[in-house]
Amino acid sequence: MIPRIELVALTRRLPSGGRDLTILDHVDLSIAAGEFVAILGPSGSGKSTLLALMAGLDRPSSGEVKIDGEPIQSLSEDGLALLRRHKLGFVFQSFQLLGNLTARENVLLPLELLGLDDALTRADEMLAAVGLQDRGHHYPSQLSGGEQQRVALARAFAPRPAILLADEPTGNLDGATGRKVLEILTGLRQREGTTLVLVTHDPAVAALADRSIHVRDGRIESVETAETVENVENVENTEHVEREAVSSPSGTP
Amino acid sequence: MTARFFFNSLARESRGARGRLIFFMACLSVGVAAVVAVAGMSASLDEGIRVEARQLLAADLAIEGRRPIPRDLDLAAAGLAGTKRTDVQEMVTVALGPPRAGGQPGSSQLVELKVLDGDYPFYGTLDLRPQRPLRELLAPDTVVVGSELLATLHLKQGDVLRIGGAPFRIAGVVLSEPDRVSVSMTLGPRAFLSAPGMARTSLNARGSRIGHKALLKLPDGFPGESIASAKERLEAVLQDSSYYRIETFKEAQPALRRSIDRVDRFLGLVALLSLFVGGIGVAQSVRAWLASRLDAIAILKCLGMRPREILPLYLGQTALLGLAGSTVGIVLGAALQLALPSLFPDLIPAELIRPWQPTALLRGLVLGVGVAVMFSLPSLAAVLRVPPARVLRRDAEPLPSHRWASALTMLALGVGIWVMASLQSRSMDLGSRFTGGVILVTAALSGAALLASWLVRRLPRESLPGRVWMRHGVAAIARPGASTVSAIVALGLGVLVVLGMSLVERRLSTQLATAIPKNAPSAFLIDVQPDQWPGVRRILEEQGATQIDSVPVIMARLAVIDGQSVEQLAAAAEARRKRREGEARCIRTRTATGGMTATAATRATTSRKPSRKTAGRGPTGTAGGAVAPAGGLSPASSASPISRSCPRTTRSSKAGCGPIPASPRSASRRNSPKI
Repeated sequence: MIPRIELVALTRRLPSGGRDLTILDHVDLSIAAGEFVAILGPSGSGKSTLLALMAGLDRPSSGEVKIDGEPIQSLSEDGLALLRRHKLGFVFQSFQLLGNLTARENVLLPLELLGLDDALTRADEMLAAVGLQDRGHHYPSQLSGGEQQRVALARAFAPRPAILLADEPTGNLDGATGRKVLEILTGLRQREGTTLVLVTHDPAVAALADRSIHVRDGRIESVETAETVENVENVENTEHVEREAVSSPSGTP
Repeated sequence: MTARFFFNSLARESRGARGRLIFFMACLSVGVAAVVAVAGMSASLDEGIRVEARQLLAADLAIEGRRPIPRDLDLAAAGLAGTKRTDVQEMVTVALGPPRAGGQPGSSQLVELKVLDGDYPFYGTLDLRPQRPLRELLAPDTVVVGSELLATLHLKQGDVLRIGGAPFRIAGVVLSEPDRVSVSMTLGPRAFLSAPGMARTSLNARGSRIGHKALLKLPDGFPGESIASAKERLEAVLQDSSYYRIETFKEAQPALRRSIDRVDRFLGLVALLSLFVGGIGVAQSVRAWLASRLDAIAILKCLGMRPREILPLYLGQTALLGLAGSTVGIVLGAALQLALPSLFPDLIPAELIRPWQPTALLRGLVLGVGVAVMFSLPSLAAVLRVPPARVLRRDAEPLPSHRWASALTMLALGVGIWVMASLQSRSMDLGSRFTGGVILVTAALSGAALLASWLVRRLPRESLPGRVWMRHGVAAIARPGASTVSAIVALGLGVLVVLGMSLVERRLSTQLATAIPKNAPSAFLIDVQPDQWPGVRRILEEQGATQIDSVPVIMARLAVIDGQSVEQLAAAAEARRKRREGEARCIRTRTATGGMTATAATRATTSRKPSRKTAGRGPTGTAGGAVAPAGGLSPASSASPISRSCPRTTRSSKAGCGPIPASPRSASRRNSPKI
C-alpha cells in the first residue's frame, strides 16, 4: 500500500555565517493514510522544518518528499499551492488567521478556493462543529486565543484534507483550553479519517498519537508506537478525553 | 479561482484601506488634476472654437489678401449663387484725440481699424453701446470704437477723434466682436469705419498696409460638409488666386488652435511628470502596505492560493485605490478648469470653456490608474517572493526571484512611461525623448542617492558633529530599508518639474533676446510719410534719440528662381510634400522652423544672385517709411505663392512668425531707424 507521506533521505541545510547549517540530515519516514503521528523534540531539533518540507512550504536540499507516492520537490510554487489546496490542512501554534476576515470568512476561504458550491453551508457546519456558530461574524481580534484556534481547526478541516499538519496547536493556550482544543482536533480527525502529523513538546499530547517520532539534531532519534508508551503521565486521562471527543465532536471546550 | 472569489477577496482585502486611500489620493490627485485641467482646457478651447466656428469667422467663408478682393468675383460661376458678401479692410493705424489746452496735440493710440462695406457680422453677436445695428451707427463721419480706446484717450461717446487725418465723431462703443478672440494677440483697440468714412481719410494710399477680406455667407440650407468643395470652386474662379487665402469656418482660428496645441503638449508633459512624482509616492505606499501583509500572503499561499492568483489580487487592490485617487484628481481638475476663466479673465475666454470633456476626464483616469499600477509593479512583484514557510518561521528566506522578473518589471515600467508620454504629447518621437530624459534623470538621481548612502556608511558615526539626533539622522540614510534612493528620485523629479518650467520660460526669453541684434533699434516707426519725416526726426532728436535712420520700404514679390516661376516651384514643393510626408508632417516642419515661407524666401534671396532670380512684380512700395526689423508683420508673405503651398504656413506668418522676404538679419541691421 502506498504511504500517504513518504520522506526519503530528506536533508535540509541553511547557510549560516558563511557555512551550511544542517537542520535535517537524511531523514526517512513513512506515514500511512489515517495515521496520527506526533513529532517530538527539543527546540531547534528540526521538527517544524520537517513539517514545512512535508507541506511543500520549504524545499529540501536533497532527498525526496512523496505525497500519495508522487514526489513534490519538482513542483513549481503554483503546483505546490494546488497540492496544499487539495490535500493539506494546517493548524499553527499562532493560529495564523487572516485578521481582516471574519471567523466565517476565514473558514470559507479554502472552500472558495476549491470552488465548492456548498462552501457557505460547509463553513457554517464547521463553525458549529467547533462550537462557534454564533461567532462567525467576529474578527479574530474579537476572539480569545482558544476561540481563534477553534476557528483555525474549522478552517483546516473544512475542505476535508487528506493530511492535517499541526504545529504545536496548543502551544499558545493555557492547559484547560489546550485540552479542549485537542479534544476537538482529535475528534475531527477520527470523524474525517484524516492523516495527522502533529509537532509538539508535550509528551501527554504525543501519547494520543499512533506513533511518536523523536527528533534530535536533525535526525530521527527514536520511534514509539502507542503500545510502547508507558511513561507518559495521565495517559488514562487523555484517552478519556479522546473518547469523549470522538463521541461528541461538536462539543464545546 | 473564480471571478466571484476574486472580487470577494478584493473586497475583503480593501478592509482597513482608509489610511492607504488617503495617501493614494494625496499622491495621485494633484498629478491627475493637472493632467485633467490641461487636457480639459485644451479640448474645451478647441471644441469651443469648433462649435463657435462660424461666429469666430463671422461668416461661412472668408477670402483674404493684401490686394482688394475683385468686386466682380463671379460667385454664381462657383456654384455659390445667393451668397451674401461683405467687404472688409483691416489695418493698424493711429487714432488721435482732440488737441489739449495750449494747442498741444492730443494723445494718440494705435488702433486696429476695420472698414466695413456690407452687413457684419453674418454669424455671432457684435455687442455695441448703444444697442443699435452697426450699419445705423456708422455714417461717413462717425466711428465706433473699443471701450479701451475711450479709456486710453480719455474720451467719451460723442467726442471727436482723428483717423487718417479726418475727424470722426464717436457714435458708439464696441464691447465684443465674434471674430476677435481675447486670447489672440492684438495691437490696439478696435475702431470701425464705414467704406465712405475710409474714403475721407488718407489711409488708402500707395504702399498702405491694408488687409482685404471678403466675408461670404452661403445660402441657407447649404450643406456644411460641402464647404471644402465650395472653397475649391471659389479658388478656381478667383483671378490670381495665389494672392489670396480662402478660409472656411471649419478652419477657424488655426493659429490660435496651434498655439493651444503646443501649450497642451508642453503642460501635458509637465503634468505627467508631476503625476510620476506621485507615482513614486504610490510605490512607497504599496511597499509599506505589502510589508504589513507578508504574513497574510504567506497564509494565503499556505491555504493553497497560487502566487499567480495573489499577484492580481494586490494589483487589483492597487488599481482600485488608484481609481479612487484618480477620481478625486478628476474632480479637482474639472473644478480647476471651471475656476481658471474667473482667475484669468483676460487670458481664458469663459465663453469658449466646455467643462464637460469626457476624453480629458478619461485620460486623467487612465493615466492615474496606469501610474498607480505601473509604479507599484516592482513592489508588487515582491508578492511572488514571499515564502509560505513564513507561517512557521518569520525569518524564512524569500523565494528566489525569477530570472527575468526584475528586468520584465522595469521594461513594463519603461514602456508604460513611454506610452503615457506619447499619449500626452500625441507624438511618439516626443514621448521617446521624454521617456529617455526621465530614465536618464532617474538613473542620475539614483546614482547620487547610492553615492550618498555609500559615503554615509563610511563615515565614522561617532565623529559626526552635533547631538545624538544628528548622528542617528545621518546614519539613517544608509540603514537597510531607508528608501534613500526612491526619496531622492521623487524629490529630484519634483524639483525638476519646478525648475523645468522656469528653465523653459528663461530659455524662451533668452531666445527672444538673442534673436535681436546688438545694434537693433530700441524703437522703430512705420508708415512715416516723406513729408512727415523732418518733423518726426526733429521730435526724436529733441527727445535725445541717437542714430536716427530712415529707409524707404519697397515691398516686392519673388517671381522667378533659376528660370522657374514661384508658382511652379510651389506646385512642385506641394507635390513632394504630399508624396513624402503628408499634411501632419508639413505642419510640424513648418512650426519647428518658425515658418517655411520665411526660410524658403530667405534662402532664395541670400544664396543666389538677385539679378537672376527675382523680378519685382508687386506694385507696392512706400517712400520715406521706416522698416521694422526681422519679426515684424510680413506684408507680402500672406499673399506669397510660396506660402500658398501650405495654407497653414500663411497663417503662421500672419501671426507674426514670418520675417519679410529678404535676409531678415541683414535687412534689419541695414534698414532699421535706430533711436
